[in-house]
Amino acid sequence: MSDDIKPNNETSPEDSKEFHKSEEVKKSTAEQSFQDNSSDNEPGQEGKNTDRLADAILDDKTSDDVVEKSPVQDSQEDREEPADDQSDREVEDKDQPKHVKGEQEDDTSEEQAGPLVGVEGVLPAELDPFFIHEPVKRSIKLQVTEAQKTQALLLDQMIKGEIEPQPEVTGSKSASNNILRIGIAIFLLVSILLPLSTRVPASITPPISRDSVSANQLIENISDGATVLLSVDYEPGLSAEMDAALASVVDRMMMKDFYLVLVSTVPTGPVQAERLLMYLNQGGGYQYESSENYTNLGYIPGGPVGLLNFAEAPRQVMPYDLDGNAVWYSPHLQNISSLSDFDLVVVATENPDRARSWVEQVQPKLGNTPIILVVSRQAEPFVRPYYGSEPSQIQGLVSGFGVGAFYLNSNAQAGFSSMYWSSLNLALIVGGLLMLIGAVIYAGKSLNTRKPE
Amino acid sequence: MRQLRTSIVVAIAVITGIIVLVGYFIELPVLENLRIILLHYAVIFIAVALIVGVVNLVQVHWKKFQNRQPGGVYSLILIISLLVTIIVVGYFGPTSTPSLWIFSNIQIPVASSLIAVLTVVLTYTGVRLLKRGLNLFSLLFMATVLIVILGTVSFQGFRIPGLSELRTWITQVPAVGGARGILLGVALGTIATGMRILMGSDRPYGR
Repeated sequence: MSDDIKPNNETSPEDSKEFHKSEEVKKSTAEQSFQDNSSDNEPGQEGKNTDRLADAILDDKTSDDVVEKSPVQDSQEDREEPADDQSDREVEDKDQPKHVKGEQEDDTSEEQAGPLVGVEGVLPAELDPFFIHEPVKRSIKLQVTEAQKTQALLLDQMIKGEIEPQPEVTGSKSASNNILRIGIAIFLLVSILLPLSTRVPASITPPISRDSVSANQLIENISDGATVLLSVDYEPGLSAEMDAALASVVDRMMMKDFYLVLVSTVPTGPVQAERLLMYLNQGGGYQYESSENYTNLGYIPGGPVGLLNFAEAPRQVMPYDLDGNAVWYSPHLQNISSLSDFDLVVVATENPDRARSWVEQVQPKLGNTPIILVVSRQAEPFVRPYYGSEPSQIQGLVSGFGVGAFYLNSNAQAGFSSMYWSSLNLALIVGGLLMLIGAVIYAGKSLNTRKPE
Repeated sequence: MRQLRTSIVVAIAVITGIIVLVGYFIELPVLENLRIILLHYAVIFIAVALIVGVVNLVQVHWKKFQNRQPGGVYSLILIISLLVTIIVVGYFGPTSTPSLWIFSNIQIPVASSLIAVLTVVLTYTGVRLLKRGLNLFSLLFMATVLIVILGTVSFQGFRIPGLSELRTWITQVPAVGGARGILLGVALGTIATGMRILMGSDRPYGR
């Protein structure tokens, strides 16, 4: 574009016409390419966003081109405007503010009252409703740099590449992929089952983190027989990891004869909690029974709203346990009217959003009551900011069952964690090695194919 | 008439939102009670919506089975499973032995299987990661994955020196930094959405 512009004093009518022609050619080419892009995406709706992106970039390009014209050149073009530009002018006119009827007459109308009676073109002293006009339409074209344009185009191409149908994989390739997939599955399966069947790895110890030590100390500092609110907020699919992590913590609490009040914001949570206590009763030799040692209040519906409601008025929101008993008048809970009356709150979840809901909706109502979050490894980075903040919004963080095994080791009892820890260990080593081998092979292949070029 | 109805709906939403919001800042017993009542209503509506969702699910799958659409048999299995579970849990209680049996022997294995399949797929994808292209970012990605995986484990007590510390740094500095950024973004987005709803410019409750 800038190459086409000549100095103003050298601009001849012929040059201006040529300039307009080249502009039109550019515009039509750009529009054509845009239409081509649109037609490519017609079969699916996925292309809409990419089209919008392309549209925005395209608009921006044409707008840049227009901006680059000098005012003098513009005036010359206006004088020598060919008939074809009439339509463009009409489009531009549409963008101008539209005045309502009567505005023109008002500008030259005579004053009807006051000392200026009969004088034309007087500015009105009061707001004239006839002067109100439609708001000026602002341009929403993107203001982006060249680098941003390039990146946006790259993203556009990437997305288009994803939604375009891929050519069918040939039979031999498909078979080799299947063999690779099955081979990986077998490797992983064997590495998981081997430690479980042989029960070898008592010597493998999990890492001990400062978080788990401080959580352990927090529980230790609470007196025996304390009342604890325990929320079991994880889905069944991740129960292997979460059960192992939580079992160690709950085991610790059962040793200290804590009275547990179970709740959940997941529909399957109450059953999950019962299952966990049943396992711990069997494995740890406890005699925890409903009503006497714990009470299960069940499912809190409503997500964050339900949690806030529960935090505001626990007695009103969850008046009965799962067996239909009015539990709040039992000897263990009669002194508890709000969540701050609990000695400790423990939340077990694999979902960062649920952890966030507990911190945001419930933690402000807890007063001096500490809260411990037991989370999966994948949720840890999202929860850690609450733990690392000053003052910290959560007082204890236990992540993954490697840490759970720490509790287990300190308690010197067998359980979920030691059993799973070794399997996880071996499976991670095998998985990591497989990836490393794959990376070396494919990197070598990639380098070999590059050399001839 | 339609505009009037819209205005009433917007007014209810805005007033409700303002009452709940103001209740956080001004400690008035009346306001607090009103806020609790409104929250009660919200929870009841959400719980009813859950039931409506289940009824809708049954309707959709029953129609699919009736019209003999592809996969209609699975729809029938879904409906039967749902009915059996409702009957068992309703009759014996949610924490009874039969209910726990269904949960432990059907629901957990099925859900865990999906995660297991995901593990195999992710490992397979990790193995083939560099097949599509060898560049700085794919190498960086692969190196991060390997450091986090191998830094987590110990083989018979043996650890590669420095790997565990590097893994801890990755998960607690860049990962937490990114997570903190996401949390801040979520918070700002929530405030913006809340303000838009309070001003009536966003109407997620219908037109």
